[in-house]
Amino acid sequence: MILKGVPSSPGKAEGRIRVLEDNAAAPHFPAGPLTFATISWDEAVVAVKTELMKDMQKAMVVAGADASAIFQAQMMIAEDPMLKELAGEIAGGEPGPDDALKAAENIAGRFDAMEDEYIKARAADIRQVGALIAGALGGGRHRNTEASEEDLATGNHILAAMDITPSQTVRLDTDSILGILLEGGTVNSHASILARAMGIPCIVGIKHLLNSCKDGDFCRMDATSGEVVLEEAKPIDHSLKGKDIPQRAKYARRLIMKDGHQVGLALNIGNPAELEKAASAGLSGLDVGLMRTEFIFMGAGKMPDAESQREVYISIAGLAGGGRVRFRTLDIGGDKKPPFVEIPREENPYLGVRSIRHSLRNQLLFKAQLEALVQTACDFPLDIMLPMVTVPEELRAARRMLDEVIGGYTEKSIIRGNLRVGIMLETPAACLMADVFSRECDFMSIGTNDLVQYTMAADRGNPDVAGLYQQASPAVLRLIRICVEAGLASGCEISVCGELAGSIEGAVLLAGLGVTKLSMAPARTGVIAELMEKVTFEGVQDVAERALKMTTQEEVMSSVADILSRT
Amino acid sequence: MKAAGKFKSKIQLEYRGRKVNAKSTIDMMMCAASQGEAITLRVEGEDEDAAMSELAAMLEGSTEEVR
Repeated sequence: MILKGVPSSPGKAEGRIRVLEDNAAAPHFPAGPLTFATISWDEAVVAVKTELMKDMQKAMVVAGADASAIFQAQMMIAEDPMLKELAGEIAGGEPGPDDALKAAENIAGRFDAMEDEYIKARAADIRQVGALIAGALGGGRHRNTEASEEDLATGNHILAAMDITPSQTVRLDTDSILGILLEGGTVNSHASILARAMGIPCIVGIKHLLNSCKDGDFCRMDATSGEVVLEEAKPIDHSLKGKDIPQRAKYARRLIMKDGHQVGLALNIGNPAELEKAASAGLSGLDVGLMRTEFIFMGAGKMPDAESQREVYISIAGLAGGGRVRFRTLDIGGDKKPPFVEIPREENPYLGVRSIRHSLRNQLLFKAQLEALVQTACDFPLDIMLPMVTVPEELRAARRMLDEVIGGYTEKSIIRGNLRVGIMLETPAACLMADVFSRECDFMSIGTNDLVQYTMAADRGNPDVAGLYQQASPAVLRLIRICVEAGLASGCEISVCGELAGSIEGAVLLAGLGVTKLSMAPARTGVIAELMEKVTFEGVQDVAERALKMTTQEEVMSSVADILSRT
Repeated sequence: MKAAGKFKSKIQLEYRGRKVNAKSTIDMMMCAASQGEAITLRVEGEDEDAAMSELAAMLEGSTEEVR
């Protein structure tokens, strides 16, 4: 069967249909059995804003700043006094979930009738926010009408739905959802805007879509012509089983600009399974710019000894297929700690015993890790990266321990030849002293997630201050510039392994500032490579230079958006 | 909107005979006043003077803030 719709995000995809039913974007909401609220309206609004804030942060990374503004608008609607008042009037007291839905529907209905297209399109936002508040008021009971994250994240699929919310769209796992088909929606609906930014092919306005397909059907979609070809799934049909489903080019091995200028590319990896997946996606042999080691410790009941760690590191080095792996030593404290580690209660954990500070205080644990890495370096070239270094003494103390460990081996020269030692630049103090560190390091990698938190003194998880967590703030960019200049002067390699490196605006700014290597999640490589093809080194340098002189993140973002719109 | 939200006073705009709560995005969008049209600003409450002078200055400048 062939259906036609309106293409709203270009690309082609093939896969199995995954139908998403009864979602929050549908105009008619099933009334839940629960009519009394378990929490107050204001509490529900806080809960909804926290969720939307998380989605906005995710959108920043996967779709860019412009697209993430969608969530800002929804947050404003959530705290709107008019919605609260109307729901209260309908309830004749404390509003419950159904009152929230009715209030939102009432207001959205009035928006539907407006002439202005922009205002009219906000009706969908109001309905979605109403559903979110209803969900929160009902203690999450209305949530089951939305697809769970897990539901959306499994398998190689083409999603079919009436419409999907912005939250659902940004939560899609781009590794497993190859395309989106919507019976409703328009070219400028939120789902379309986000799909374009995320690089997922999307066709909207497909009449009779949901009556024509079911879970598991084979589908070929062409989001250039708007054509959707559906083949019914037959349970015992083996001809489709072995069918080779081609992947979209969402991974890339190199970042090359329009003028041929190349920026180094490396991967951020959290565990061996991720590395295996990256290798099977054709990324084998690329350097790993950030190999987290927490996974070895987090699940362990007791401290993993050097021998068991060594086995893991060797298998990782092997999986990298010739790529050089940069192992970050145990980065715990703050919000994460393994069960066997005791960290005394701290007033302010993010400013307490974290990362290298923890390692230097727990020498048994740190030594076992260094031992295992040194043993691995007998066979593989590798990097040791120390997280959250603040003062040179920490780097020197760690180096002394490493030297002690190496001293116990007869293959000293092999080990020294294979091993490079560096730090993460995550504190403003380290960035300001980057010239000092660069003389004592083989490399330095800027960890923007923590650097932004410490520079802006804001926790991104706290909705009241998350607006201050500005990854592209001129303040952050100036610190990064200091690091890059220190690297250039000393010949020390400067890379970036924070989220910023895999974000659209971030990659442009960082390349322009002179960062020579970007390390990112494998799933971001395709998008960033595509972006790089559209810009020139001179162009991004110009944007970055101007950004350093700007006064606010907003100015920086709009200037980056401007150069990207001209390509 | 953002500017109105920081004051404690009740802030109303009057536009084509309709009263609008200036602290409500939804209400403001429903009224969707475009630039160049006449708006009445009404402020009532403890910080009314500060609110009036700041918001009036803003409205005279432009209504961009509305959207």
